[in-house]
Amino acid sequence: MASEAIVELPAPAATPATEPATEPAAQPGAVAAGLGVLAVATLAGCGGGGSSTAAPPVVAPPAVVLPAITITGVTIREAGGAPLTVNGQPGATLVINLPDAGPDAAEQVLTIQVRPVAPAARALSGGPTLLTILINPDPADTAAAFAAKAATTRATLAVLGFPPGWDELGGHLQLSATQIITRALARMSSTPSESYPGWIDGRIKSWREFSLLSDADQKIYQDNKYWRRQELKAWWFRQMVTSSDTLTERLLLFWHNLYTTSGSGVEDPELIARQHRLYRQSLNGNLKTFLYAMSRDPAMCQYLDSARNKKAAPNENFARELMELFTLGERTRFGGYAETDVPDLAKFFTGYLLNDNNEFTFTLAEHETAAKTLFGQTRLANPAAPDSYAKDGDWAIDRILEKADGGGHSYAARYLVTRLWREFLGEPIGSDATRIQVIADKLSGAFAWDLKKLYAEFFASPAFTDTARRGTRLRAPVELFAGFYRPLGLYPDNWLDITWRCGGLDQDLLDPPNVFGWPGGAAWINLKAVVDRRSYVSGLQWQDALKNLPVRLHGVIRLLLLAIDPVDPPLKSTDWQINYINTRVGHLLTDPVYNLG
Amino acid sequence: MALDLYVTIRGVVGPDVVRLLVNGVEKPLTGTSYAVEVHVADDFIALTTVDRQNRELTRTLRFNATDIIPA
Repeated sequence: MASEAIVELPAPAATPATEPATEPAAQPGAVAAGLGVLAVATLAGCGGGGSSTAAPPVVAPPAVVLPAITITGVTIREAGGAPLTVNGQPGATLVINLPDAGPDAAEQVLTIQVRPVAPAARALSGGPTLLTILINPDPADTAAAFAAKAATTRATLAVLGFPPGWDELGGHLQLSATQIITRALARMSSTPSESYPGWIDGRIKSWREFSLLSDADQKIYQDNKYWRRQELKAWWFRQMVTSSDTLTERLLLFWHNLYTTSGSGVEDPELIARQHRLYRQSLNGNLKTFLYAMSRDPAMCQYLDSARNKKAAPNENFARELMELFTLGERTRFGGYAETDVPDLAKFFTGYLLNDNNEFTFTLAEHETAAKTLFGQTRLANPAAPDSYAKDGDWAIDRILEKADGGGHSYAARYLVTRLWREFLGEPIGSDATRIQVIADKLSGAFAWDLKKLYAEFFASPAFTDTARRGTRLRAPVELFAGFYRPLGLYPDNWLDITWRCGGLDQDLLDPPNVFGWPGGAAWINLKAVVDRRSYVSGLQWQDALKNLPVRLHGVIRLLLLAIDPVDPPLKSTDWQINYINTRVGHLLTDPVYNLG
Repeated sequence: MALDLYVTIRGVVGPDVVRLLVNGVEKPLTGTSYAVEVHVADDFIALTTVDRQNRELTRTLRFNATDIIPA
């Protein structure tokens, strides 16, 4: 029996020592200290606590070598280069050498009196400046000020894409909201950080080419359609989590939902992928050219039946949705067009057909070449110009964008800005309608439909920095998952599995339920969703990768995951969940506030 | 009006350190020494080192600049 002596493993005993007794506020200072505690706790925990009947064998503790960093001195200078006296000693800069007590030491305080030498500068600055430098600042001193600053920065970054990781947050802490927005806009790119799947430009087989394949090859070809679609979904979600250009991904989600094409309504994944790329390339340009391109996009032509819109029997589907859902808004609600305008508009897009390989082909023989009228204006193309008829649709789009109400305000501009507002800020409230109209008027006027100018104006709205609006918008399912992986810097074991979970919560990426897209807002929630959201999201706490979450992030998980304070009470020192990072994260994921952005 | 000050933090990192980040932004390392300039108005500064095993250590500093009102 002596050989069966019980040996208590140190790990569970060591873990609580690394964790705070209650959920901490956002205190990176505490994190550094926590790392120091980790080293001590690990050493102390090994081999300790044997059974009372048999002495445990002595196990050598693993060597813990932390990456060292020492601060040996500081040099001070004035922004304008003015010569200074530092603690009464003259010099443009002054070097102070420090005896560093190390990262685990208590707070060190340096107090330095700085004053310009030049009389004029002295007069401007008044008295000397007292500069205090706290090294290893006590978290109790920094918590409130830092937490407020970090929460503001997080909120700004989150609204410009998805909630940031710790390093991303740290890199923006010193920037104002305006600077953060400017940086995000400057970073926007039409090229994704990870290339589109290689098959995107592959030739789509015509029915005849398909029929010549063997049965086995036909099955492979059809199976590929399914798996490529899944691959594309997983690829896009990966962009949302890993790309530094989150604003583009977030806007792409918006445009994908506005100019909707359901994947289940378009058989070829290549068409969906090309449309996705087209929207990415267009969303940062001019709305007119975006709409021109969208009207010729093969996925759209297939989904909304332009591919069957012929002179002899015009199909009104695309024309109706172009006005009702894409530009002017519902006729009965906004009054931007009349029912009789639908067949008028459909004629402009006759002949927007696809060839056997599903490539866009303007077919003059199927196009209505007679004079056409929209909103009382008549278009007669020039037969001598080779592409004049092919631009009939573009002319109609221009008229749609010009369509204005009695006050001279563009219906399309107001509709677009309202949709953006709902997407990023939630339902307009109070004076929001006034602000929306101001932005819309600029879009259709001074901005001449330049979308980048629109974004700059839109994100400059005071509503984005209004703390009262934080946590008032219901997050879409994809945000729930991206809002877990991105801030914690983790990757799922299986990206596709996450997109399937999004689908389980009614947001199947690249496959909205119908041409209306995902309604969003309160429509995300129903009895089933209340249960499923909690179930799906809480499962994230058991991700293996979470066990390797850097200790420095343990103290800031609440800041990273939640937009506002949780409603559930914080874990107490007596709660078993406090001992493990997984369950501490799980406690936050299951808080109702996790659903809010 | 407090002076607009910049402080250069100098120091040494361990031999295994391969990256240095200031508030999440990577800064150049020269051998095992570093010198990074930060704006006092940034208030909170996090210096993070990453070693070859991808382990991280963060040290924090905080600045406060105030006027001394002449008597």
